[in-house]
Amino acid sequence: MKEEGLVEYGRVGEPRPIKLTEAGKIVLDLIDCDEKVNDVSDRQKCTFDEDYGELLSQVRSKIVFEVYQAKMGHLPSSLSSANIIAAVFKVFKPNSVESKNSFILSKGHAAPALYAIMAQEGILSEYELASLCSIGSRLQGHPDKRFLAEVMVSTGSLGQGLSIGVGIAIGKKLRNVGGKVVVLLGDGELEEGQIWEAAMSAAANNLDNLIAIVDRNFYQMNGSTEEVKRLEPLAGKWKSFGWDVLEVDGSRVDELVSILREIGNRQSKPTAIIAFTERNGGIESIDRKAFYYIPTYEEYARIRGKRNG
Amino acid sequence: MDSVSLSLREAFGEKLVEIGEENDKVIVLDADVSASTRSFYFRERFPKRFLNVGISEQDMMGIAAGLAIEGFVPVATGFSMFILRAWEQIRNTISRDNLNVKIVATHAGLSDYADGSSHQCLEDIALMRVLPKMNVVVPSDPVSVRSLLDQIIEVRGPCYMRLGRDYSPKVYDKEEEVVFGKPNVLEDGGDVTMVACGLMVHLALEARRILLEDNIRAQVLDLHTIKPLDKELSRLCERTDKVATIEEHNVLGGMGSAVCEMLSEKGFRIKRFGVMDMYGESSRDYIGLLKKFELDANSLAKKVKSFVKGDPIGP
Repeated sequence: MKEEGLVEYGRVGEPRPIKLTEAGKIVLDLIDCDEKVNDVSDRQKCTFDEDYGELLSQVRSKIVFEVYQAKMGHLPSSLSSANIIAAVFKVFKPNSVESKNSFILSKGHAAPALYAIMAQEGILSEYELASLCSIGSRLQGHPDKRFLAEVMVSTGSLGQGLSIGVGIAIGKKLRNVGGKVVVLLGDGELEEGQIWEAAMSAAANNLDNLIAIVDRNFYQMNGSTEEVKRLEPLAGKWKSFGWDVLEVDGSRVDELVSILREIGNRQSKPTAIIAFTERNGGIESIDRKAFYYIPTYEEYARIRGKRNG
Repeated sequence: MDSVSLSLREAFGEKLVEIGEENDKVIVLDADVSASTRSFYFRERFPKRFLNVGISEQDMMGIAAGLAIEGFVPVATGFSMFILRAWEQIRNTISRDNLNVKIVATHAGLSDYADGSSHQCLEDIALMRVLPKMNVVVPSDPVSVRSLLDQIIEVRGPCYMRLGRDYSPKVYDKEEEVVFGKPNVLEDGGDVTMVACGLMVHLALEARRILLEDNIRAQVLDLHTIKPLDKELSRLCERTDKVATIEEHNVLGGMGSAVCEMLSEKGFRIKRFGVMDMYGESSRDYIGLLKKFELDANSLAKKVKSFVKGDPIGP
């Protein structure tokens, strides 16, 4: 498959044309009709209620499509977080008008995963996923509320999401409105001191409506988290800060979903979930040690094909 | 206005309680300095709407952002120097998402005279005014603290209020005299315009009296709102071709720089007075420290006179 520069591509009802590679155009045309949502106001949701394998396969395929199209974006980290974000959306339907729950992607570099799941949920159109990082796109490199009002807060600078989550959780308690606040943290991100300021604040304020999920993939930009700055014993750290701690196999969406469903008011404590993940999201051809990886068309087609087959 | 005590932080603490009575969305955050900032008056009156987050300014700004997202009007208070520790949090969340957080920074400039350069904040105006959507106000006396605090609570979006510690002679009689966004002409004069903010407004007025002995008539302007900068400023300065800016801040990037940015295209001759790109130091009294940095009324009068007469001004 040869790529012949970029072509303008637009559909009726879409807000703005986007630039696609020839291959991308073909890919977009091939996407099954039932996945397409042409108009955001016409949110026909894809339903794969209990079939998480199919859901994940679709989400991964979307993430790879975004990064393949843009030729940029943090693919491994996004694949690593995809299961977790998918489970959070499944259980909490966060940041929507009908839900009281909030979700903050503190590890903002996993934005392609967030966008893929928002597309899966019908909040974004599949078509728009092709616009990642292009000028004027709502899909900024890191979630940016100025462009995409559907995200709770702009993120991208590591270590800051948990404090914001603490503020929202306190606000919900003051307003007496119920609802949970979920913050997704990277494991490398935990090296930022502000995380532990926020961890103390959450425990000191008995925020049983706050859930921090750690995407424990064991890698950060320049290598293993244990080599860069040892994180272990990680569960012990959260426990000693006054949190309830759960450890879960992050590759299992069903486990994540059932744990998130079960979390009630846990003895007035905030909950930390350490989710063990793979930075390649289980796609073996992608090096889990690489923090940045752009898939080839062949890879993309194979991942896409696997989903269809 | 005799009931208003003559300290910026006292005025702040008292007014905050009054605002709390009116507006139940106001929540006060503190990084464990409320005994010093006087925000503890609010804690005593509204314990449920007061949050001491501990000595963790970065966390405080994140929590303030979260509360603003939930619809509250958080007032995050602390020493100006250590609020700057959370500059990136302010930049990346509060300013970028245009969140309705009010930051009130006390002990600014050289006002924390005894504690020395670690505590003396001479950089905050520059760092705050460079942030898109951030409003920056520097009240000059207790009455203007009360007035501007009231007004920035009503402004939709992030605001930074800069306060000194204690010493703050009266400039205004009535709160109505101070209007957010509008510089005040306090004295007329045709030889030079002195544009000042904070305590320097009072000292500019004193310097003006000294200059009268040399038959120099200075116009004095209180530029309490540095951002947004009123477009009328250049018209107000038009009466004199010379403009002296006076601030308790590094001369780089602060109020004087903001004035230069607006007036530079209009042919004014502008001289900036402030702390000359250096750090502060400890002193046992505030006025003594201001003298050391040539920011007392006599030094200012001397320097402005040289500027008006065209004499070379020393470093």
